[in-house]
Amino acid sequence: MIIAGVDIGNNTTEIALAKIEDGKPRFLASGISRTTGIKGTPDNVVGIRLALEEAVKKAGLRLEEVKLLRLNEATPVIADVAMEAITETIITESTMIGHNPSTPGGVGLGVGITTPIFELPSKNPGEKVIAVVPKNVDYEDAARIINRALEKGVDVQGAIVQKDDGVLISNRLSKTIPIVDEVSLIEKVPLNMLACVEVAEQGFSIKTLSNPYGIASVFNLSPEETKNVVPIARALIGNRSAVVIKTPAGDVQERKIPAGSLKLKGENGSAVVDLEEGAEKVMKAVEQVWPLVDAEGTPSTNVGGLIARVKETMAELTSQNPKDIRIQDVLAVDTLVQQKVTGGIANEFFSEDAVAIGAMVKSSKLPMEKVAERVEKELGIPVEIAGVEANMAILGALTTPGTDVPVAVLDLGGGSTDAALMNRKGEVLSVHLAGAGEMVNMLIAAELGISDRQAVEDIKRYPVAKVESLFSIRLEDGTVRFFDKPLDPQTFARVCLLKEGNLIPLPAGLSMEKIREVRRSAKRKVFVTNAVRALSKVAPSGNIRLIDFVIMVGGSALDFEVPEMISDTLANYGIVAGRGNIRGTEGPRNAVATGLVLSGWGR
Amino acid sequence: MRVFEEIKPAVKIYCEDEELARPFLKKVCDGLEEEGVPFEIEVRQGEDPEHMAVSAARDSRVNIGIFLGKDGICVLTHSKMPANMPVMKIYPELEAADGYRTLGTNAARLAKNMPLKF
Repeated sequence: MIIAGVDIGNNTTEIALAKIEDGKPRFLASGISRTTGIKGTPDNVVGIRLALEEAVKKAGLRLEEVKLLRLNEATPVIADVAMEAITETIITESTMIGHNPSTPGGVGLGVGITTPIFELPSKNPGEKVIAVVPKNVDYEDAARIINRALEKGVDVQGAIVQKDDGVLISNRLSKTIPIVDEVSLIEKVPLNMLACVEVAEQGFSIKTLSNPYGIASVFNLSPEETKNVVPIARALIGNRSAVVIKTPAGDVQERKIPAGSLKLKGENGSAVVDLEEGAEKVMKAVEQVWPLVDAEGTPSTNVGGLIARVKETMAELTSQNPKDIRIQDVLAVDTLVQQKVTGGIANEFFSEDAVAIGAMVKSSKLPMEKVAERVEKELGIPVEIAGVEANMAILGALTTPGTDVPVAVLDLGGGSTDAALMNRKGEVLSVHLAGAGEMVNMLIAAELGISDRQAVEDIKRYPVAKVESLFSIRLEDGTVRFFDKPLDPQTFARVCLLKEGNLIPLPAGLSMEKIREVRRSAKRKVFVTNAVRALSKVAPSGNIRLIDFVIMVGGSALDFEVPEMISDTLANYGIVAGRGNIRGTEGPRNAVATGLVLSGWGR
Repeated sequence: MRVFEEIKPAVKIYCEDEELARPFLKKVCDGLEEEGVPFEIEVRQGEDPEHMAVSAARDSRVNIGIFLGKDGICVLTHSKMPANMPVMKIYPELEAADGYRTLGTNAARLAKNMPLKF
């Protein structure tokens, strides 16, 4: 008889196909497909069919030969992530240009009144001006007009240019003045206002405009006003060029958004944490009141909105009333988010502090019977709903060579991180925690300022390399790899992802070190934190040191660095941890599906 | 025979006809100048634009060569690239004048080891 174990997960549906001979299963093949629809809904049938067809084809069988499907009783937990910035920088009446063109012109510091280039001839000798050059003016004309004004005695102190012409203009001027170019939204530059342009020498960064007192000296600011320019100065640190313009009502504010506080209700009392105190405090409070019964945010604050949003999504998915949704776990992570400055002129970005929250909701039991009925009807194969997911995962994980009870299994998934422990008597204890692969994606996207979902997923999954010449790349570990054929000039000098032998160029301006750091810290903040949290919750008397063996399974256990990071951390507690290898062939995938087959026919 | 010291570190531009190609040549040079990379122009006639670009590159001390034909065809290459795989090639009828400036910019960025513009 041919039977199949079917595991419907949040992201993937996995199949283990086996033949029962003399009451013992012999595994034939595995299949995998994307889960269609929300897990636990009849939409899943399409994904099951696809995965099953794949497995059947691999085994050289026909679909009709499969006589029984064993379906997991999906854990009724769904996870969601959300993020809110807790600081925001607003520039009212544009006052600064904080972008960093690769080739500004000239060098020095210039202070004057912003003047359109066409009005230079009508200026009087001795007037200090900053020329504003829109893109319809050719660099030769611009240089000629400025030179003529200089001859006449007009004190042209600097220039703001829309096109990438800074050096070209500078090379044709009779006097060296600082020129900032590539200011895309030049029409937003306020005219007839006092402005300061600074360009540092090659290899140096600006000194005056990145210093609050420097800005204060240039514009004669009061101590109160100086306080307000701190965000400008901060944003300009490290730039080679910058412009700051003083408008009468101009103001830059760093607004603190009232983040609000999080109210955590647990079985052992409740706690209130202010989100501004940081993620660490939130996590401490969660531990204090564990097990969590529900969480709430102060209404009309950031965290209030965030929690409400999570509950609404969950309610929609499970067709329940948002009021009935209870949050069972929260993972808070401090992060920085790249946000466009409101009112900026040259698409400036600021790093704002933010908190990312993953939440886990227990819904009422998922209607697996309905799924089973539907599968039976559509595929014409009898379906059996078998055991709890955690027990199946352990049974499957134990097919990894070299493992035995007592053992703990860490299931690193897309939506949640789960742990289950089986003791010598075969009793199983399990826990589901919020925060896994999707939260890592969210952190990477926010910190690098990338919105393309596929790009973010790729950054998480593949190492980066820098193309150093037309024939060689330097890898993350510092080694150089040469190619026989010249590389695509599109990738030249760019940071690229090494995806399945191809080089995928990433947006310019991201350094290799930064990407690696962001990627690794996101994984550590989510997976390592959750591995320790999850294991301490299933460990005998809460002591993680009493666990000897941990097997990592699930999609995220396939990651090229997450399992090593976790093994490394768990080694500190004297735990042997490693990536599972289900049935000695499947790697960390297919644990639950394999367990489903085994649970029916013993081991 | 060439005296080694006399070759300046510069991007080499072989131009078939300085008069006919002047508007294009100016754009290419603008691109190089804005990026601050030195260049040299030489008048040379030749058959195959790709091969001419490669010999320009071999003649350059930074290994980067540009060929600009009198018909406006423009090829940018590196001396280590095969002749049939130029880094960038421009046909006058297809490109706006901006293409020539970009080619100049890219020649400079190739020399500076910076990401190219496309």
